Amino acid sequence: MSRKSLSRRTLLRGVLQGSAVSVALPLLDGFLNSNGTALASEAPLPLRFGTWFWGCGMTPERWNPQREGSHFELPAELQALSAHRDQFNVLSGFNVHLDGRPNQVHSSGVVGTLTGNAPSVPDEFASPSLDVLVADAIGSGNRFRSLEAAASGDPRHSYSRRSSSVINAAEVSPVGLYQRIFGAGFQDPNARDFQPDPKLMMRRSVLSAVKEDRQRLERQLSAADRVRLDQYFTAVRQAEQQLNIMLSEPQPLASCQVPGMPEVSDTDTDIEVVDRNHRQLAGLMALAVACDQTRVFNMVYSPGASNLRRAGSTANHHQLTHEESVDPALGYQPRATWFVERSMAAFATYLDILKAIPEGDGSLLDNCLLLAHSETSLAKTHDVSGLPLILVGRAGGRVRTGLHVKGRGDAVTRVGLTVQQLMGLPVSRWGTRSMQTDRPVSEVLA
Amino acid sequence: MKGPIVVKHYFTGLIIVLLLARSSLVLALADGSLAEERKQRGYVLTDFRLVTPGAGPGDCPDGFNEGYSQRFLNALPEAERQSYLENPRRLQQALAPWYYDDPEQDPCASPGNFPDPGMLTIDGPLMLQRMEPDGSLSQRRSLPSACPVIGADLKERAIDNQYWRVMGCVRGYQPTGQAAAFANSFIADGSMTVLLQITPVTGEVDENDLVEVLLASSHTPVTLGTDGRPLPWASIPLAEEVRYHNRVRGTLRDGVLITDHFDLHIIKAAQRLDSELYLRDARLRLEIDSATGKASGLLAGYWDIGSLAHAAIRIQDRTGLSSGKPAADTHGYTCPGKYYAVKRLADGHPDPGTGECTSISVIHSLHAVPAFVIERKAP
Repeated sequence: MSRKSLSRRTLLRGVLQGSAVSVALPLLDGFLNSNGTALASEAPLPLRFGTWFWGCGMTPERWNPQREGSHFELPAELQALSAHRDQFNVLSGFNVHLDGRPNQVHSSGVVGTLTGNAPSVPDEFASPSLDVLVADAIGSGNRFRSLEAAASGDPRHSYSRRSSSVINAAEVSPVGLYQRIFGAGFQDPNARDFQPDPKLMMRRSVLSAVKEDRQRLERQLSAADRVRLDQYFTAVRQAEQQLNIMLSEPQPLASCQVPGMPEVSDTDTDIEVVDRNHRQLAGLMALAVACDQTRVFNMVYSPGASNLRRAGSTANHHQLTHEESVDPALGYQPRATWFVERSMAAFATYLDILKAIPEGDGSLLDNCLLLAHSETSLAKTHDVSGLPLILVGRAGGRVRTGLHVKGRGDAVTRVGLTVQQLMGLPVSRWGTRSMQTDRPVSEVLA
Repeated sequence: MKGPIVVKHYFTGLIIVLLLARSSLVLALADGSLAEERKQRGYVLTDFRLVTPGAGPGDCPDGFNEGYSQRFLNALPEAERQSYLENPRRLQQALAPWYYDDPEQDPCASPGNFPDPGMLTIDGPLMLQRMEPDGSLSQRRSLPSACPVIGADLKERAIDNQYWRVMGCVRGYQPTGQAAAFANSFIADGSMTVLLQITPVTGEVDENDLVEVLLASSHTPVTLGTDGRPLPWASIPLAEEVRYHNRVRGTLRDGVLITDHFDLHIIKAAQRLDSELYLRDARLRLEIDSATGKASGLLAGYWDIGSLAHAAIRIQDRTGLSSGKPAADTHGYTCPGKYYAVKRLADGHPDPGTGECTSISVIHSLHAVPAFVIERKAP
């Protein structure tokens, strides 16, 4: 049955007490094209990119599927994701090539994956992380260029970085994340009573007013100071842009449901507490995406060298990876692998939450691309070969899912290049030294 | 007329020489690949690790050693211990610092500055593999080797593996523990590349099996195949530092290489750690598989205690800090305990002044695949 398309600008018009009034509508199916993949105006549903990180990797024999292609069985450590089997791709056998640089333990893997460069010192981000590159391309029109959260309870647990020293710190408490997204400055896209905030208008005016003075100052500075000032004003320009967005009337969005304020919760390294916070942070993050507050979102479940622990045990996940002996009968470390399985269960919850939000003729997840990754494969040896990578979501139909792709020792930059190209970045080559590549993972391209 | 006769004889002789040469080549190849053994060969190590056979029943009657955390917890009353079990951060703080700015205060950088807390070692009779003076391998049950008297010729003694006696009751050094898991990763991740070259010694006609062996470090990471293992036949240059070019003569007979004694220095880098392995009076015994071209064997020698203390107790980080204390806690020992145990079981190179041994026997196993070893000539 064909459906009559409506403009997204459709308003309910009427006359009230002699004055013309109009009421905006939420995002209805009629606003979408007949495939539910784009707005009726043919503007596509927005693309989003997210990362989900957990620390201390996996056990290769219990993680990597045997068969390539679509007919693979989920190994033990991926079993928790079975309900989402058709929504993701497992990428195995992709390496960070160190090129003679030291393996900066618990750092080289994640930095290499996100920047395409093996660091020479720990946490050296010689170039922006993948999510920042994507955010610069698709996130500048939103209130938040990107959002970061860490269930592990430490704001420093964020791998979203513009450089080694410029870190997008993570929100760690659900209340904090709620206030940031849905607190002051939030404009409900479905509430048709938009009023620009006078305070924001004043702030924007102040920034505009100093523009000329800034140009005068720049002429008087040394080159080094001009660089510093430029970095500062880049941030200012982003703030200006953000204010512009906040002073514009948002588009109605059917999938946007404003949540209630979460309860105050503790932060801790106890995995049960982390899990609880993760569930709440995930819910808020998903709604932030659905309400188009951001198009780039990063979640850390546990940091590199994972500090997660079970109540009553002093040995955390990281310690266990090194101290626990391999059980000769099982062939793996049972206490350490328990944390991997729990991490994947948490990731499955994250996917449940994204999938539960309808959008178009699918779910929010369908219009996302999500990269789940860790800093090692086998943490016991800090191995940065065969890193665990899961690519989830169809990115609005751009991605084939349900596949296992073997990288066979190729650089992990193939994955980063693929992400960038899927997100529309005009990049044909990515990575440094032997990790430079011009080969995306074509198997997953629709 | 003489001319043609000379020419005829010359050709006849040449044909005879060629026929003889051909037949001897055929004979040599058919009777044990003599010709095959007379060519230069290069290798790159794909596996290099301490021989740690694992503690057998009764080897550690008092159990395994404990690291700093476990010792601390065991010393507490039950009620107090529980509070630390519930708050790992508190435990970490109680045991801080884990990294020391002042090496003199660091029990791992300067273990001799601290009293001996004791370390459980394998002191009873033990079945151990050793290298005999003739280069053969033996395995027999024996008590720990004693420190030899000053002036004794180590070349007349079998090289034991006393280092295993030191580490045998350490959890992390069991075959399923941390040390074994780490052992080979350093080659695959490019931290450490070791090359081997075997060159026939020519001009010494009575010594057809005489070879010169070069065991050397390289700064070039190994090339990995799609299976994650080092590829054979890669071209890999030697490290420029001559210190890491260890040359020794040996014999290659029936596919078995046995070297003379030699002192060995190789770069032993591991991820962010940076150190050197210094063995004294080492010997290499290598078996070459003519079918696959691969080689495997043992490197036996005496680990200089100063070098051992730096590389395996202090554990020098590339930043200059000592990672010894967290490493000891992870494996399950204390640094001073290990240091004094090494000194107690040292069995090589007695100091002429004190008579105390300054090295301890140790055996490494190794595997190698063929490679092109590139020697840079000085300009």
